[in-house]
Amino acid sequence: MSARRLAKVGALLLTASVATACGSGSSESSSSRDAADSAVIGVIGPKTGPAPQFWTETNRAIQLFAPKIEKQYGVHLTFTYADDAGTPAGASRAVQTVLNEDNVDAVMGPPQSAQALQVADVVGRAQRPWLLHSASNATLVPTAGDTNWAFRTAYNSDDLSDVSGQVLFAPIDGKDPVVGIIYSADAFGQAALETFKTYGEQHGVQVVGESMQTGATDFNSGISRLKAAGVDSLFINMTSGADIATVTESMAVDDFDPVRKYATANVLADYRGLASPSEWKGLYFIDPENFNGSAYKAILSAYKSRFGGVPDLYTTVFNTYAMLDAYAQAVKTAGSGDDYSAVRDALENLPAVHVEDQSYEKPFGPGDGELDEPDAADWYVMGFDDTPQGNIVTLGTVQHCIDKGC
Amino acid sequence: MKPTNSPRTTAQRWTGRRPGRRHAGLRIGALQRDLLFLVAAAVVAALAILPGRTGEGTSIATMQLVGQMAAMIVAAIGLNLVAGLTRLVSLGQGAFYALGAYAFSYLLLDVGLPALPAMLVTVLGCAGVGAVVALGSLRLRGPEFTMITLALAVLVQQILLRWPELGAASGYPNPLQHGTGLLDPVSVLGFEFDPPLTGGVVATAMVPIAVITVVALVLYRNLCRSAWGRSLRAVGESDMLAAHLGVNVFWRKTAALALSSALGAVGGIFYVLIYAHVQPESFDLFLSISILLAVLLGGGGTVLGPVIGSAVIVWLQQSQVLDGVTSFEQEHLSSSWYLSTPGLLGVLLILVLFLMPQGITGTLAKLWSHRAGQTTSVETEPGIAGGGDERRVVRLLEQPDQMRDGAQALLLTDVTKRFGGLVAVDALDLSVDYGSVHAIIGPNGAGKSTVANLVTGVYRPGSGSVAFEGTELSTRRPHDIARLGVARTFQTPQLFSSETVLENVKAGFADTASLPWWKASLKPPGQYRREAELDRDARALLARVGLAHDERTLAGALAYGKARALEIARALARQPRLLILDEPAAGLNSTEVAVLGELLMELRRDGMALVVVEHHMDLVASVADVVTCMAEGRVLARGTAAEVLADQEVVAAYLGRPAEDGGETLTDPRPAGGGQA
Amino acid sequence: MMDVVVTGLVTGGLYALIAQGFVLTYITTNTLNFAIGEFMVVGAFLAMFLHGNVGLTGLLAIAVAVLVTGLLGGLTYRVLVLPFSTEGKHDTRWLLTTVGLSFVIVNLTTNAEGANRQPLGFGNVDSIVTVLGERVTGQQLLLAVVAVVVTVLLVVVISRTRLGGDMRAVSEDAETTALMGISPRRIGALSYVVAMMLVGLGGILWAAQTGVSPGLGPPLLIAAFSAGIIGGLTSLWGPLLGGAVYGLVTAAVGTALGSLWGEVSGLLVVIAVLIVRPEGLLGRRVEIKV
Repeated sequence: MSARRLAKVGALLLTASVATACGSGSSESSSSRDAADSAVIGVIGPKTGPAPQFWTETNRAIQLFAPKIEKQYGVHLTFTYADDAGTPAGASRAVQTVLNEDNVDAVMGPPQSAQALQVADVVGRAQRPWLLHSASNATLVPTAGDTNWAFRTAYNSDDLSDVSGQVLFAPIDGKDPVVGIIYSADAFGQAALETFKTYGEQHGVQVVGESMQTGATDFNSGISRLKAAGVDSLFINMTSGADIATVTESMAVDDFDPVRKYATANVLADYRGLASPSEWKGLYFIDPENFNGSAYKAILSAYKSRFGGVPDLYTTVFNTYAMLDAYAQAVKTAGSGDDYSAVRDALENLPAVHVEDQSYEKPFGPGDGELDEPDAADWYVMGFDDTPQGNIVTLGTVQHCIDKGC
Repeated sequence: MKPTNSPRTTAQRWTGRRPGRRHAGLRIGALQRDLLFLVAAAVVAALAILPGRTGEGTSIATMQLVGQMAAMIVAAIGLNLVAGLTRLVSLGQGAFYALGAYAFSYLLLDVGLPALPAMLVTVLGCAGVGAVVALGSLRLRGPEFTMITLALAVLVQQILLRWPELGAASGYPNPLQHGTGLLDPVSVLGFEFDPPLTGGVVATAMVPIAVITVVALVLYRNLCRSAWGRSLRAVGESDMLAAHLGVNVFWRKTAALALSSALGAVGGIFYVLIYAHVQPESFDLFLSISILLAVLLGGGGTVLGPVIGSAVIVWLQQSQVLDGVTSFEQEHLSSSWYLSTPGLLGVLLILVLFLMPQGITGTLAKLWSHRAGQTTSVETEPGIAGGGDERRVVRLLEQPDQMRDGAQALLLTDVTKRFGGLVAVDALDLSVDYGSVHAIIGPNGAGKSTVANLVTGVYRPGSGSVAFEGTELSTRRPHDIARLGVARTFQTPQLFSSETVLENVKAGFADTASLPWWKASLKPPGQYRREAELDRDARALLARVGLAHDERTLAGALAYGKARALEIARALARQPRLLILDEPAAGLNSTEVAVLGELLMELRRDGMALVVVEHHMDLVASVADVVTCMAEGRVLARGTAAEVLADQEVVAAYLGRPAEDGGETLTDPRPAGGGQA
Repeated sequence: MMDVVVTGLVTGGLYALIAQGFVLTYITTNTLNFAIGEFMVVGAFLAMFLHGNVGLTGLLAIAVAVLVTGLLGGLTYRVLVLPFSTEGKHDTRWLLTTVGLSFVIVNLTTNAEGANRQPLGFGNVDSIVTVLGERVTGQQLLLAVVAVVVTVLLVVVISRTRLGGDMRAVSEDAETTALMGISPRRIGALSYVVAMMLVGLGGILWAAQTGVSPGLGPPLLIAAFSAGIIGGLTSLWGPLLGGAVYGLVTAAVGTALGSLWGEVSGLLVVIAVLIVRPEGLLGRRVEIKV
């Protein structure tokens, strides 16, 4: 504990002293490789390919927050970027390039699960810190022994299922609900289905799963199946807000209005432009962060003033911030980014990760690479108000909603 | 006739010597060339994987790039057999690539087969799937075939994305089901082949990848350049043409698709050897399009085009070379409306099709041959004329027993053919003897070409019998009939226009239909001898029809008269006993017609039975033993040329339809033909 | 049961409208525009721009966008299809040039506008309608009605007018028609213009419900292509039948086995039709004369 506090004090002191030296902030140059308290991060993302927003939001978050974090901890972070082109083979090449040619001290990304899964074992064997700010597949962070080099600031899909399960499996009017899950036809969605099924078996609750292709023109057949199965507690686990809009539209068509309707924070992108207040009435979503909290507000306003508009992927921006904060502290503690195991140990022993005024005490540990814990008291339930623009309303923590109803 | 102004400078070198003397020299030359190719391919492959010899981390990305190129190369040469040579444009090669990758991984991990048997089962299995697909889809041509393969590619990926045993979207293997995300290194006979994934570990998997690629390339090259490859080109030109060369088009296409699928599967196996993990997202429609793009960019139908195309495409896709173009656009054109790599590839695709329709190799080869002056064809030189004494260099026909002079070759009895309500041929009787020429004349629409098509199996008669040497033909298919000894030419010459004259004739030999694919690709010593024989015989045939000086010319560059001569030479290659010529004099000038007449008389002297469908009355009068005049499907008159041409009904039939025939007199019914005596 | 039928038929309307874009060009030119999904994207982005940035009213924006999309279709024919379909039935280079065009459009719009779906902002019939006792969205019903109206109009125009007569003549025998003074090129260009107008209209009306994005095309490309094949690419009525069959099959199998298997079943139907009756349910079979 004292060591951690010391580091914190040190960081504060250094903030002042290094401010001038590192005023230029993050730069593409790698000239300062040998300097103490410096590290090179290889950022991998789909610069080209069908979902470039993951690349864009990661880069913007780095531009926005890296200089500030460098100043705060007195470290020098250099970023090199590699395009995975949105394909698994592209990710494999990108990883090799940053690991071997750029000789980075840490790998950040790929942000999408398919690409991350393709390279998971390769990064693991390279024994350098792997910073997961977006890919949420639970299997990506092995927690045993030496293979634990991955640290994640995004929630993992199992934790999401776990926490949402606590709400969705709670009795309705004293009776067990019939739980339905609409999942995307990718690893993220399939893992969620598995977790729900297991959960359902353990608690003797019926679980009905329906998968949906991204970009599908409608979801009428899936809705009629869920309706026919008598689902009254529904979880929409899709990766794009536009797809969630397709789902709620089909629900309106089929007049299917279960008692509980939950989604993920993915509903923030695109959804409100494509759906109407009547469709999001009673639709809630779950996230470890409170989007009406002061940290998020500060991040969004910084983002807005720099880039003019809100991000497509709120959570990617937030989680990139958290990741940079954690890694910068660890580099400071270890003395240099190229002492990989020291950095890993420092990450595991971090006293706290800060995002603006919000902090996560002792987030990681040996065998634990996850920033978020599946603790219902730490997660929030939010929804939209009935204005056309759908302002975000925080209903309380998940625990609050389980106990008192939302 | 002596050739007056032929390009003797180049052509003479190739034809001036007697074919027989070239025999030994040619054989060694061909072998040397093949060895040189093998050595060159092996050297390139070795150089390509050389940077990975130390296992240094910095070489890994390069090794993956090389591996992916190799995978694309084998998949693309496979696709070239179908899309390039056979001209069935397939968007389904990615499906076989995916099947190969998944089947190989599954057999290794879940079934637990050793690497070699797993590889064998994968390749054979995919060939089988390819054959099944072929059986279902080969009736389709042009865009329809493309669509069914497109549907197949989408379908396969959809299924892989959601099949639980194969890990669905989590990929194969995945930690959830298998406890690991990577396959163990493949081991063969105690050697472990590590993938290029870890710094400090030599990527030994590159060795089998390089070796298999070289072997596949050599076999594929042999196949393409063999009679088997010629048969695919024939199918690509037209199913009907190939069938008339004796090729069983259906099975040949099936075999091509099976081989192509097997090579696609090898590409998938390479993918597994490189990455040790498969994600279904890797095998989307874009992969199929990329493989097709590689074939076309390099040059569809050329032997080495797909190889070059694959290397270029993978390099453009995987390296950041096009980023420079993108930043140029961003700086000078627009910061938001710009094209990055995928869009630039689209532009490249369009540009290649526009500027280099034959692809990189095809276009370069054309430029090269232009420079070497090999496509020169002198328009004024008479087509069928020209050979002089060379025409008699070889007497090809060694008379078999059945060809006794005067014996009956072909007999049509009471043959009727209807198309819908139209009676094209009505109760026709016709017989042709060996050593004779039977001419069929009549106005357009009289049913003359229908007779040719009924004999060669293009149409089946509605009733009646068509017998060749007593064998009933009416139930047989064109390739069967061709194999029995019946050859034909077409109203419009059907040649392989982008091939040389020599290659065109070689396609006519029986080998095109009979050489098995495995023999063609392994190319045992006997094949070298056989190819030399084919060259020699083909040259003799060319000499015989007066094309001795044109053997290196591309058939597409030939004047009309020469094209007809070439088609006849090709028809003769199979040593037919019955030859059917559909308007051989159309488009020939008077000198050429005279020489054609001489050739027909020679063939007749050789004992061959000839059926000549013709408008050119001079030719008919000079060569025909029997003339049948048809009108509206029926026989109007039959007899010697003089008898028939004097028949009032015949005259009326021709002159009564001046609008259709455009002729005023029977001796010159077609002014365009120019056959005025 | 009834809900499956109604849902299937109504969603089939959208597929039919886009598939008509395949059929029109196939009848007259024997070619298909593989960038058809991207023309939907172009139409939708144009409409969004004309309404949002230029300030045209909804209907006017749709009209102008449809027209411009059609003209781009004509240009595509002239530049990317005609020069690449000159060598007979075997010549399928047009397939690759149009695929290339689709790469370019997707890439360009993704770079400029991002991959996210943006609301079109107008043109959505935001209500739920009851048909035969089953509920469907107003927009889908509108699309189905438009598809039927368009088909009927096309059939009437082609069977009653001189222009239609020319189109029929070109589809029967382009060479002979050319000798008769009708330009197959002009007819081809015209059918591309009309076809892409329909596709643009479909794209706009569809985007009004689901939003505008560069990824609008691919899911509909497969469905429209399936509808076209099933119905038959040589019949103007084909898309309606094909769309209905594809819509019904995917809805029925989707309801019975899960929606993902719906799409797989649709593809299986396509493959079956191609094997058993390659000309499609309503297509003409031509006996080949040599």
